[in-house]
Amino acid sequence: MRSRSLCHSRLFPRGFALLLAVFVTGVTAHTSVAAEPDQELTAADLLPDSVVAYADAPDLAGLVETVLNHSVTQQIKQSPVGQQAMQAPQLAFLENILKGFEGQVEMSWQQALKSFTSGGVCIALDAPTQGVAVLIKGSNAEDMKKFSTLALGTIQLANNSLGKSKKAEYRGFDAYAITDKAKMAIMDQWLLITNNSDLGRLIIDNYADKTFDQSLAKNSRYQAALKQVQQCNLRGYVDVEAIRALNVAPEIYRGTTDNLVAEFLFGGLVGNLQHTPYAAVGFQLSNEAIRLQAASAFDPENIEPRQYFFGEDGRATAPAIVSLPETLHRGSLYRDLGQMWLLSPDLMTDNANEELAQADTTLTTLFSGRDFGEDILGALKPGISWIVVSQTFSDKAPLPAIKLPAFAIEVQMIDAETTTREFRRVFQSFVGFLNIVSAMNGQPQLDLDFLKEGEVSGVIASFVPPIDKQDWKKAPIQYNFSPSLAFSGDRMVLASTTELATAMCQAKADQPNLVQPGDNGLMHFEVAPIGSVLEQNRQQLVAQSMLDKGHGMEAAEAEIGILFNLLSMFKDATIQLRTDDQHLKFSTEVRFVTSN
Amino acid sequence: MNASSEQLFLNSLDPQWAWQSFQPSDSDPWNFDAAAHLVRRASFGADDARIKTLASGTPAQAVDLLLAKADNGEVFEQVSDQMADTLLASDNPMTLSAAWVYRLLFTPEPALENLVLFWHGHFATGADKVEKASLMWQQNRMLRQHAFGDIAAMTQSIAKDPAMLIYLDSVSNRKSHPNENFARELMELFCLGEGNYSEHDVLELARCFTGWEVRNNKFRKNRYQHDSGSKTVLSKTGNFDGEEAVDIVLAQEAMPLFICEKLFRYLIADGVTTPKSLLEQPAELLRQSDLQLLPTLKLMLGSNLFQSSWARHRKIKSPAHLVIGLMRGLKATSNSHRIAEGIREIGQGLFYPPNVKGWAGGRDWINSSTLLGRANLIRDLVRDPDTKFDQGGLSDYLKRIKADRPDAAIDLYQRLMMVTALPDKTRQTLIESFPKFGKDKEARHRGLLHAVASQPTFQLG
Repeated sequence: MRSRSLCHSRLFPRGFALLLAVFVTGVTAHTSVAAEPDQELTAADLLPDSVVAYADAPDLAGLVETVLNHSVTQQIKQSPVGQQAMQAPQLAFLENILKGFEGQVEMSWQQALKSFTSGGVCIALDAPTQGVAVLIKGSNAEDMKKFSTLALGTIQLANNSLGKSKKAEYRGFDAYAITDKAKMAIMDQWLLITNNSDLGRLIIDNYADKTFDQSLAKNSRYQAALKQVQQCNLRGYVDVEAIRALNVAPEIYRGTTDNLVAEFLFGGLVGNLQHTPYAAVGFQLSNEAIRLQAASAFDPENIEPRQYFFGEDGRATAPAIVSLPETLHRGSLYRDLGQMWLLSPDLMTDNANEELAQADTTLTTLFSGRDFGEDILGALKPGISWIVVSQTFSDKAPLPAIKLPAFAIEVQMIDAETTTREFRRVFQSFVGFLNIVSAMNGQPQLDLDFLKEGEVSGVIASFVPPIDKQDWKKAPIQYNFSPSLAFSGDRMVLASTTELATAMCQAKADQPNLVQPGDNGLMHFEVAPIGSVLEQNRQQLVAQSMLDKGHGMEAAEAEIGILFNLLSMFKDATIQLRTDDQHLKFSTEVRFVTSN
Repeated sequence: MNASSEQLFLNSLDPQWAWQSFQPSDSDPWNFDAAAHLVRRASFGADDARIKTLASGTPAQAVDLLLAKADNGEVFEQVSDQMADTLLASDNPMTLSAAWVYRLLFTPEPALENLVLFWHGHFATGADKVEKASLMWQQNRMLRQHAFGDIAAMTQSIAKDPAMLIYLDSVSNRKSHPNENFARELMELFCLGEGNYSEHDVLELARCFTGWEVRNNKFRKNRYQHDSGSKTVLSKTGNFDGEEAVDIVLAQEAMPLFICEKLFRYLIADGVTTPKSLLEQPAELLRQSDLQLLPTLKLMLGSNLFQSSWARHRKIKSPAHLVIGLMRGLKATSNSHRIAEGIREIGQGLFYPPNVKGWAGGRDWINSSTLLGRANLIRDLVRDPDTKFDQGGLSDYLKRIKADRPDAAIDLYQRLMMVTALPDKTRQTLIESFPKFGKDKEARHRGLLHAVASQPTFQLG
């Protein structure tokens, strides 16, 4: 039974009583605290199930420890930049604060963090009250009391109101007004901070009454979402259905875009937001890798009109990717381009569709009247893969001053015999068109030729070298390219260089395959070859640093050196999008170079 | 002194006295201010320590030091060329502007760079029309090679310079239809000035250049297109080719006078008509030196006239002198692309002169738009946290040189970068406003510098 009376000290002014009346509009008769706090109790048990967004760190101290002891942190500390940063006055100031803090709590700040947050830290947004609550669970009530007193004092000091705290009790727990809106309450080893009195009261009531039936922890969406990010250091949950119902940011759920590239890359992700009830986000850090993952509920029944993205059954897998030496990036996506083109009226905005209609007419003309969507893109099997490799440059050819990596795209044809001819002819026309434009601008011309090496055939083009060999040493950027279109069986490769086109056609699909069944898309970056490409262009980077920062050459070299050192700490990075029976999962993983 | 009285003063000057070596006296001492004036006009200003070094010797030694080759000049040249080569890969002339700004900021031979800028305005060639960055840089290197030296060699080179010929629509010059553009500009804008040639000379001179072409971005002589007939150019008759024609133009009496008049406007005073009588002595020296520029430069920079109180107030800083002067004066570094773009916006795009006449200079630098633009550019640069002063903050730098009080900072700015001291009332207002310029000392000092640099008197150089 709840009472309308308010317990407060006579020392506090009447105004504060009124203020707390907002926070504490009802006090139950039984204000006693649970004698033996439940160690298994989580923040989600205390929060109402109407929470629409939630994030927590189950082991904050562990995460901080991992960061501080991480090999990357150690390397940065030992670098000249790190050494310089360690001597910054701001860091000394921070160290002094920490020493003061440690003196107050009588333990090291690491121990304090472990003690104060041993049961996790969370932040939640509640829809009905529109309140935000932060809940911290410590190892014991005594330490939590110490910590909260110190935190309160710090906040008061910052607000220039030291000793003017407005304190009251609610259900036997101390409660403080820390600013005009924010309140803080201590419930044994729990610390609660909220900007909304109703939400604060609800949480304390749940704790005091041990009424967890209507809690977030019992919410099936929350439970399903958290399962997807169970092992993460930082976890988040969003009740997408509730947010959709609140009509927050409706443009996200509109389902159409005016950006064709964005639709191609992320259309399925955005489309799924129209239907998914929840989403989860997780962040995980270990000595080996850093991982960011997101998952949302996914029902293959709801994929229309994005069957081009997921396949008819919603579980299509991207094509395999070849592997070549010095590969710095490769990727693969399942996309049915022909289907996407024809579905574009459902995917794109009206303006974008008008532009696409014009493009369709132009492209249809370019392809001798064959319908671009139906006959050209439709002649390709779903799926596209690509690769970027660093180039080696011969001294027997013009050496470009800026050295770019080579890249290639591979698709597979449904009817190779018919389609090969069409694409070969269009490629030749395109090179001819480029030559006309280049000639008008005084740029180098492309020389066309044909390729035939075993099963590989195609059309290749190379830039005519400058007449004066003096000009070969610092040739224009064009000399990075020898655009080529190569065919091998039903495979078609469009590459920036002839070497890569040939190598890609001759290479077998990657074994073991980087792409696993269920992978809708995958991108992989290898850092060492990226470093090689940057190294080839070190002079350009140094010059740019000199101009941008006004450095001398030595300082610019040092700055670029830091960039290379930073790169050397990373091994590779992978971005993955996959579907399983119930979820659409997106993950990014960056792996570090480890001594093992 | 109004415009007419200035002209009267100039007309009444004794040329002998004007060009005599400056002899310091009690009334006209050789001191920090005099050295600062020299370094501002001959180059782009300098920091406190450098000016003190110059002031510690004689005026003549200071001029020699400024015009001498620097010990580390070649090293800087290599670095700078390497950077330019790198930037040429993008073939974007705009990035070349930034590369030149970098040179202006860091060259150990700023007087040489100042003269390269002079010749760039004289042999004006615009990258907006030439488009090829490599050709613009090639011309810039050539101007640098000859900037202090041989005007004849420089003029011969410019006559064959692909960038210049493209800019003047002279990539083709056929004997059936001689292209008059370069011939006209050679006499009118580059060597003699109006009134020193006739239309007939233009036509005949154009015939000398027939067969001179630019193909594949390179100069070539097409012997089948050269008019090998007899021509009469500036009263000389013969079967002249282009080189001989340039020599004939360079041999004209008006030529050294024309160059000296332009140099006078660039280094000593603009906005006045220089009497021919005043220019005869430096022109004669130029002629006697076989058109080698250095002796004439030394004469001008070391003269009584150069150090006279009259000359000290007779120039408005060009955008480049305004910005680079401020940066060099306070050992400042910043983003060169941004500086280049800023200078361009207030009327002096490096590699982008407005037309074949180059920049008019003088009062043309200032109008209501550019005055505001100057203040805004200085504000953007000075307030930018990426702008460093001696590799750190402005307040730290000022503290190191004992000028961190607002009054001391204003004194420093005046000594380094201003001809005329701020009016007392303005100075007092700035000192009182110092706390309002920002939240912390660094922001306040940067605000004060911006305020000082926006004053009308700061625009005089």
